[in-house]
Amino acid sequence: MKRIWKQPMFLLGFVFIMVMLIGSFVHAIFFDSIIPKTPFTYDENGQLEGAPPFAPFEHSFLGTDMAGNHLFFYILMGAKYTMLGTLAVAFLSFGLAFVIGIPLGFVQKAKFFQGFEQVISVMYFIPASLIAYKFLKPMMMEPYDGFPTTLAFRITIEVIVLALLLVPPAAILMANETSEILKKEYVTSSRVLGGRGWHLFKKHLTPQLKESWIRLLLMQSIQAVLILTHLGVFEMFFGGTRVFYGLGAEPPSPITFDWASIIGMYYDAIMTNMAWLIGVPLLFLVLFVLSLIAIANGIQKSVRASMPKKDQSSESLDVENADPSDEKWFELLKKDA
Amino acid sequence: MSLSYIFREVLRPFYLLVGIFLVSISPMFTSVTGLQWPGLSAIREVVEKILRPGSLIYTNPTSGVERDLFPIIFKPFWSSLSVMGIALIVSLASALLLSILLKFASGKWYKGIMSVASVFQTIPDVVYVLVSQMVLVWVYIQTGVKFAKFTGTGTEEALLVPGLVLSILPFIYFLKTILAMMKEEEGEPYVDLATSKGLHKLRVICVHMLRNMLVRLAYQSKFIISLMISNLLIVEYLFNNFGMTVFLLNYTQPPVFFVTAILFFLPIYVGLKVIEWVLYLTTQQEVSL
Repeated sequence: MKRIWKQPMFLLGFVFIMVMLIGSFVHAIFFDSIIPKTPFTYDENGQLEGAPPFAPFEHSFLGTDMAGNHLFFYILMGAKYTMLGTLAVAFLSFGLAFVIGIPLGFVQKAKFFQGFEQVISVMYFIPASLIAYKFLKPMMMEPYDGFPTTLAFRITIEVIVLALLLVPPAAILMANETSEILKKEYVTSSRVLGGRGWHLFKKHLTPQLKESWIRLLLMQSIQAVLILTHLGVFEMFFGGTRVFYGLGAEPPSPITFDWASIIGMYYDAIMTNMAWLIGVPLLFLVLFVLSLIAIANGIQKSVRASMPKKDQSSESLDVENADPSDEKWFELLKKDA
Repeated sequence: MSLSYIFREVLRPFYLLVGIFLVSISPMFTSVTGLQWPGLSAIREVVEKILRPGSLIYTNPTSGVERDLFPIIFKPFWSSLSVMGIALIVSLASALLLSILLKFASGKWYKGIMSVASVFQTIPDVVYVLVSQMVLVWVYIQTGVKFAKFTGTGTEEALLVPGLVLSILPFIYFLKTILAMMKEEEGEPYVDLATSKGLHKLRVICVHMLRNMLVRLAYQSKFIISLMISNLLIVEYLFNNFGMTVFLLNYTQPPVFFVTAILFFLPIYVGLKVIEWVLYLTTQQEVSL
């Protein structure tokens, strides 16, 4: 596992995610997530020089919006919600798929499973983001007299719902892969010799499927980013949407400012020449996805490298002068038997 | 073609209906405060309404105006199908063309294109849609030429640009799959035979390899369709098209959702079935799409 730190792509991805996360938490804990605002700038004579919006690098690092809010701090604030939310959805759905899919692979396609698979195949036709939007809408849009629920509650529910939506295809994939391996001849002989479920899982499934599980985890995180981005564009922001009521009310605003919701919030800017308001959060989302890919590839490479190329342990044993009482010649199943 | 096969085929649309029904009643299980149980009578009411689709009305969530579902529903239906049709034709044709061209380029390209395509495939579709919109606006601001209709308003809907944008992700997928298949097919004996007989490379690819590849590509049609529908949702939303997926997104009443979803997904399902039958008749292989 040590060589993983020597891969440049892995390091780049890992550093990007860690820097954004740490920066985001520092911003939240020590600076109370304050968004600096520049309503006007003055030159040295005190004359009015410019007014927002400022383009990137003109006045601040990533520019400001119409009201002078610095975009960089929105990005920083949203980083933790985007990244941790995505990873929470990915790991939860992967874990559930693992717990459901692998036993299903052992059962080998019961009648119930086939019907279940058919009902689930509706997911091919109805996009997951559409289902998530419809299901979560009553909870996530702020009603007239404010949210009755806490932010933590809404985030938890949203993560669980998104994870559940991603479980079925992943579970079916895992079940199919598992039953594919279990059909192999060496597994049958292992069964004949008395190998039971846990043994088969540890000795035959895990080494074979390790890499595919890493792939799946990556796919789940990319799917999670995709759904969260869709929801953000539909103005259903991660953790709830603050809706303003009344005449001349402001457009809906996010609470957590995750990157997808920044895109949704500024979407109208696309018709103007303030394209950076959308371009910057898009860029960060893409960087996040690329970092995830780089990390998964790095882990996969190091897993592959740490696998023994060829079992040489038996060749090193000296057969001529073998001592049968030596324990290394026999692996005891039970010491005290 | 046994009896159980026919039985299974008859049963499959039924499962699909159950799935769509579950999705359509799903919003009833949430409220402002969290999860809730709507009660059996509410669900029964939905079923009763679904059984009389002619009298269904949909309510606009912002204006509260109620309108009849039929025949207005056919408008988004055609809009969506034409956008998807444009995207499918454009992506498949351009991917085929490019992969044939790449065959004549040096072999170095293959690996590079494959790895670039894998990365581009994972980028969220929203990025493509938004970037293409930004490019269109930028071109408009720079040159003053609006060379394509940008967003739909009312009767005059943009169909071409959404279709082209929708074709990006399927294009990448097609290109990757076709290139990988070409590499596999090249190792087949029939390609060697054709080449040794002196047939031109182009003729071998277009006449002999293409046939086999298209059949293999058809096996993936369900995946491609699901990719396109998910992408279509965001394309229609951002291009302001009054399409089927946006209709499904905006009108949340369970019976309306159920009927529209059936109307939209039935032709797609039938299309997949037709592909399945053609595959069965031509290659004698049972596939379940």
